[in-house]
Amino acid sequence: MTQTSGERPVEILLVEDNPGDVRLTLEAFKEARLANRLSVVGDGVEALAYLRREGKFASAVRPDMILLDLNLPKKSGLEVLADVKVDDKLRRTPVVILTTSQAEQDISRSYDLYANCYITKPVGFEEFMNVIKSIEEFWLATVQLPLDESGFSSEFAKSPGC
Amino acid sequence: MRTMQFKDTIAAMAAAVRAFGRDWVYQRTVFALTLIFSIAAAVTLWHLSHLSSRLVETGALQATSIYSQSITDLRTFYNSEVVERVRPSGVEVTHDYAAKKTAIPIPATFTIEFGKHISEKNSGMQIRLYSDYPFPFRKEGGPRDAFERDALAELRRQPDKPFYRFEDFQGRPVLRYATAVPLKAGCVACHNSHPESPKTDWKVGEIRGVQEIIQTLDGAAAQTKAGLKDTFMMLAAMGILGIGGLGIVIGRIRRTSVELEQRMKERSAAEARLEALHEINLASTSTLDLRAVLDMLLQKSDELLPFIAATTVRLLNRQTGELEPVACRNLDEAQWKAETTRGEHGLDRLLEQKNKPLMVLNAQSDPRSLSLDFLRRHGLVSYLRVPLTAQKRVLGVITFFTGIEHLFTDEEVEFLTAIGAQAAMAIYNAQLYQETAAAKGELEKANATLQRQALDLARSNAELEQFAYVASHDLQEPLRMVASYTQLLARRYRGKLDADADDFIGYAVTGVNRMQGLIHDLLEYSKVGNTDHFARIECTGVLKQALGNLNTVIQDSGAAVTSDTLPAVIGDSHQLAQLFQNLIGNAIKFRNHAAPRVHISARREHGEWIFMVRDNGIGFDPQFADRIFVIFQRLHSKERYVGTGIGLAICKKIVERHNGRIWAESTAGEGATFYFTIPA
Repeated sequence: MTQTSGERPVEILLVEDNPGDVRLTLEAFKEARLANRLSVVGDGVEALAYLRREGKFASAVRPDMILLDLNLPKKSGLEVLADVKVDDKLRRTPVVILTTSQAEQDISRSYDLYANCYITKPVGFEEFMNVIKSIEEFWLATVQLPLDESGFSSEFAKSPGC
Repeated sequence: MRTMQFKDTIAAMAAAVRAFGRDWVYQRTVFALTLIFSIAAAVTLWHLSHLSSRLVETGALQATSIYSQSITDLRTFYNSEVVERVRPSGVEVTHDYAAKKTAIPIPATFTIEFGKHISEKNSGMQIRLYSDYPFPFRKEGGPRDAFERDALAELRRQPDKPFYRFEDFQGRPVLRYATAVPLKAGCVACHNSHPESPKTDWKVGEIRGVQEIIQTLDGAAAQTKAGLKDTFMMLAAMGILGIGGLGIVIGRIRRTSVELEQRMKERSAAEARLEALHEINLASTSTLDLRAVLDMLLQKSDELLPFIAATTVRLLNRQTGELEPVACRNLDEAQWKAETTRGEHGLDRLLEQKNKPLMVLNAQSDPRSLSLDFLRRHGLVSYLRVPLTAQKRVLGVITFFTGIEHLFTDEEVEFLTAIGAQAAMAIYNAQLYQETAAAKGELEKANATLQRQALDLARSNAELEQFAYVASHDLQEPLRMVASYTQLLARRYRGKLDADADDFIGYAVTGVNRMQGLIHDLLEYSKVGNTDHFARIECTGVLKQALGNLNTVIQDSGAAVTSDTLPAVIGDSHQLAQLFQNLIGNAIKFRNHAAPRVHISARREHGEWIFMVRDNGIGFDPQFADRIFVIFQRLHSKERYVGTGIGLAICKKIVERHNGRIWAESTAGEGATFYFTIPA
């Protein structure tokens, strides 16, 4: 469905330390029948390494979208966000804050750091699945994103059904 | 140094003498006046007597000179007109004329005889003729005394000037007036030729002898004396009358001045007392220390009434009913306290009944409160005991002792009673202050405890809120896991396992949902408490917001929600919206079979707005009116009315955060009305 013929699948980076949530997110994608590639890192440091293709992530594919939790070990989600948004090569990648926190402070802080959107994880599975669906539909199918100057374009944005 | 002292002493003595003189004259005015008047009278009398004697002498001199002249004239006239005329006719002129038939006296004899004649008629006058050369037949023809000798000598020297002298003669005051008798031309021949003439070479103008008139001054002097006596009597009478009158007047003036002085003294004493009372009043209000007040009072009364030898203050102990020695002046306090007779039980009642000062003239014969020995040792005789009464309560007694037997005058009693009243007031205040201070101390302690407790409470409250927030927040995470996976389980495996599994999954899902609601409400509850966002809020707008949130519920239940115009209040719009939402939601939730009707209104009363949310629902038993606002308290089963039991607790918290009150009234089955107030 998000797969454009002849092109690579849409890459999503999930930054989440809680395995339950990771699994839940994967299950939600599965239940919603979304065929995106989901890479997962467990802390902020790893997330940045992945994005900059450092160390073991040298061959990592740059993601089309980042699902970022705030409460992370080593480096918090907000720090990752700040680093991403000041990085010329990364700043265009949409960052969706997906967290349990409803704190006003976290919301404001995130938008101050140019988060693309902020979503509180709903409690029920159905609702969570719907949220994932909405994110996918909106950010990967509805909005127009710029081309990636590195060559591997985000042509998927135009692909139908996304 | 010594000289100085001496001089000083002298000066002081002089001053003392002057002062004494002034005082003496001032005090003995009548005496001084009498003295002055007597001296004046004496001087006057002396002057008068002097003047009168001068007048007498002058008059006598004048009269005598006229007499003398007249006699001289008579003799000359007799000589020229009688003797010269009859001699040629042979009539003998002799001194011895009486014995002869045709003879006339010689002028000298004539004069002598005439003088005798006058002397016989007028006993106060004598006429004498005498000479250095008297005829031998004249027994007393020569000078007889010093005056006559002086007169002869003096007149021979100055024949024209009469010689006189005032002197005592034969025991009587007299004027002796002597004039020269010169020989006339007609006489010389006769004298020179007379056979018995002691001198025969007489010349014309030569002084033959002296004619002397002795005029007694007795009569005139007596008259003058009598006059003087009258004058003196009159003066004396006038003096006595005058001085008497003056004495009366001065006496009266003195009496008046004494009275005035007395009154002045009384007045200044009264003023001094008033001033003392005022000072006592000021001083007694300036301190609340009982001991200080008493000391000051005793000192004042001591200063003002020097005859007070000692003062004691005893205060009533309400618990024991005894008078306890508290303070004294001019007595050894320890000794006095030791020797004061305690007891006197029932004295308080006695004092209260009588409530009058008690005077004892001789305490040594009536020792009621102190031992006889003590009284004697301190020389205390009379005393006045004044009850100390304030607010119609006898607080004790103050006793004023004197060192000598002293009958207290009405004024003194009055004054000492006033001091007593003042003392009582001060004592009352001080006692009250002590009690109040004690009570205040307790209160402060309690207050401090309360404050500490309030602080603890506030802290624990804040901690609780923080805890509730963190707990509910952190609970979300695992809850979400449980809920999500339970739902995922239900989604994937319902109907694929056995019936029990389906039931279990069902219960798990229900439990998770309930927990979700609880945590949500708890989070809301913990969020209330922040008053930072207070502003002027239009309640109508807030209500609209709440109704918007309740839209689904209202539509599903078919409820009719109406409202009057609501006022504006100071508050948090979010919290107030939540309040309305909870109350209206509650009203709809606890409905009966009829379609729910909810009415919201507000009225102003005693400076606050009273809001009412009235419904036609199931109501509640009034006995639970308070319980419904307690968190997690439910009146109904979860099955029948879903809910967490936090909604009304949130309402209560919101109202209390707005400094208001919340309560509810209802009769089971007849709807309920929820009230809350917010300061206007």
